[in-house]
Amino acid sequence: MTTRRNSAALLASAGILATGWSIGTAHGQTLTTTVPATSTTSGTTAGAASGITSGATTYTGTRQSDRWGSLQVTITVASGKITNVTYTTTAGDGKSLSIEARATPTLKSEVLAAQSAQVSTVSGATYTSTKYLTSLQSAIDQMG
Amino acid sequence: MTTSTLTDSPRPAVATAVSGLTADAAGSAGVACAAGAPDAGVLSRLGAFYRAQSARRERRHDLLTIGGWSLVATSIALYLADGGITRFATLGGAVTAIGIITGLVATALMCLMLVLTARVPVIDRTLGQDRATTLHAQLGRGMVFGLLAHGAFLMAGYALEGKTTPVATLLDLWRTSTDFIWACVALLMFAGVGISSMVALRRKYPYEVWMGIHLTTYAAIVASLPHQFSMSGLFAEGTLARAFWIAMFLATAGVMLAFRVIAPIIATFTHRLTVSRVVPVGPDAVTIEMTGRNLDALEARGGHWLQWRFLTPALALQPHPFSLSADPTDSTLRITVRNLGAGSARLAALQPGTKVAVEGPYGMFTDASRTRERVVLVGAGIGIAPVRALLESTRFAPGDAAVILRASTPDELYLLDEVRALCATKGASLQVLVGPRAGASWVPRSYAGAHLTDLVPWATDADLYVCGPEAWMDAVLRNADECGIPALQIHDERFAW
Repeated sequence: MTTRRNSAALLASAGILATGWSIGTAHGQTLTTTVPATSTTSGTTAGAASGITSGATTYTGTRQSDRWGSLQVTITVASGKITNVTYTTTAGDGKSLSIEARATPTLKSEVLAAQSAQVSTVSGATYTSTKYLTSLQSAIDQMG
Repeated sequence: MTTSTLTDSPRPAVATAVSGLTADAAGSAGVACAAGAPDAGVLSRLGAFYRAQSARRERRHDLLTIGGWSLVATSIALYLADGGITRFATLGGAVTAIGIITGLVATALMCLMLVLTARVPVIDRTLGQDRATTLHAQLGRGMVFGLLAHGAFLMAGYALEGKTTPVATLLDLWRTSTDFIWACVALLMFAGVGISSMVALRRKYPYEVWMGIHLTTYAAIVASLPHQFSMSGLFAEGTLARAFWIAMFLATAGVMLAFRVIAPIIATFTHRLTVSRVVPVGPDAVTIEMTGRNLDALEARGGHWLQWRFLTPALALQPHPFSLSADPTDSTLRITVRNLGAGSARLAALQPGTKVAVEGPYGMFTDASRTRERVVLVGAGIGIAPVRALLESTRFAPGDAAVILRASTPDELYLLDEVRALCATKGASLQVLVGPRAGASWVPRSYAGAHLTDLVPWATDADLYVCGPEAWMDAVLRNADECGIPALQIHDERFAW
């Protein structure tokens, strides 16, 4: 009785883990439940952007986490050109927030100028830069 | 008091052989296996009812077990799906990921263990409160070790990723993040609670000390919250994990509030229990009778226990778990209590008219855990009280029940006259074993070497209920196992204090 019960529980757990594993490896992307504002395609459904014909489209990159919190970048694209970059952060401590506040404007202007994620990191904000540019790259990847 | 008799002459060899057969048949559960047994044709309706009841309980147990483990697995799966799996590409990333996963598992275990002690009716009716508490302690151990691993692996992982040492990482985080400091404080508190609980189980601290230790966990949970929001991705906006953890935390807090706070308050105000009579029964034991309103709604049955809080200045702060000693009516409840602790001693001095707050009923030492048509009730000392109540409430055909009472001295055969009268009315056999125990055996010296199946030959195909002092109960359960009584048919209830 107990053995049967525990094997069933073990099987169910293994199934759930395998599902999480395969989703993680297949997409390498964030599971999103809420889609950020207007005319947006979420990270997991890049193809849907084609359905939107007029004006700017936004693409949200993967959420990148480290010990300070997670950061997620959203780009606005009009006529194939990145016109704006915004981000959300879960960093809670004042120091992280101040580093992010200092580094992100620099990163944003560099990205807008280069039109890619191949820009130099901001010194003293290596973690923030890495998260920001990695998430940005995944958003750019969705532009197809 | 010395009317003790052996109903059958000892026949260990035959008994063991028969029990072996029956045990195998019973192992495969349900009505189907009974059809294969030799006496299938005369299987009573009561037997079929109890077999179905047992199958339902087993199914609930299956679902609860699978559900619990699935929640733990889901907490990991959400992390893996949310990009966690990509971390395993590097050594530092993998160590960090393991640190995160151990933290997630510990958090999920914490929710489960809180739910286990929230006295949720479905858990009580499936596991019984004492088994749930045992599981709570086991999960607690897992949680403490999980949290320690969480801290150690994260420091090592961050250090590998940042090409520094774990100690430097720790100092760096300590300097830059207050949330991290709180997390460390929480970890120390959880470790303290875990260690003192493990020790307390053996040493038996007074109830108040135990309570103080456990209340620390609430402080630890609060201290751990800031870093869960800021540093971990647990509540990262826009993730499924956020929805999952919010649901887990709210559900846990919800059931604790509902079943440990709101339900008892409602029960106390609805039933308005009042002590009506305190009657001495034997040495240092009293029967406390209480009256109240609409007690049928409590759904208490013989064998249940409740948490009683007698509202006098000296006793109000101490809830006592006591079993009913009679089947309740719509207006009366009765307990029989022996003076064991300092609090119990004061109970003898209770005055009629004292108001009583009540939580419960709890436990599976009742008709609800029956699996067979026949039943054996074994009680010792004050453990006779719940046995007497169960004897009154549980159903059986005349001849299908056996009661065995035991005490060191005849004085300690509490409620013997009532048990004798009930046995006569309902058609149960009664055996009374008096005298000091024979070594580690559960029977007195005059019965040395006797097994349960010598006293009740059909015990292997019956439900066995055991209540009495801890060590004696262990001896009975050992003997039941030797006789080949399947674990599913054995019911015992233990209190933590």
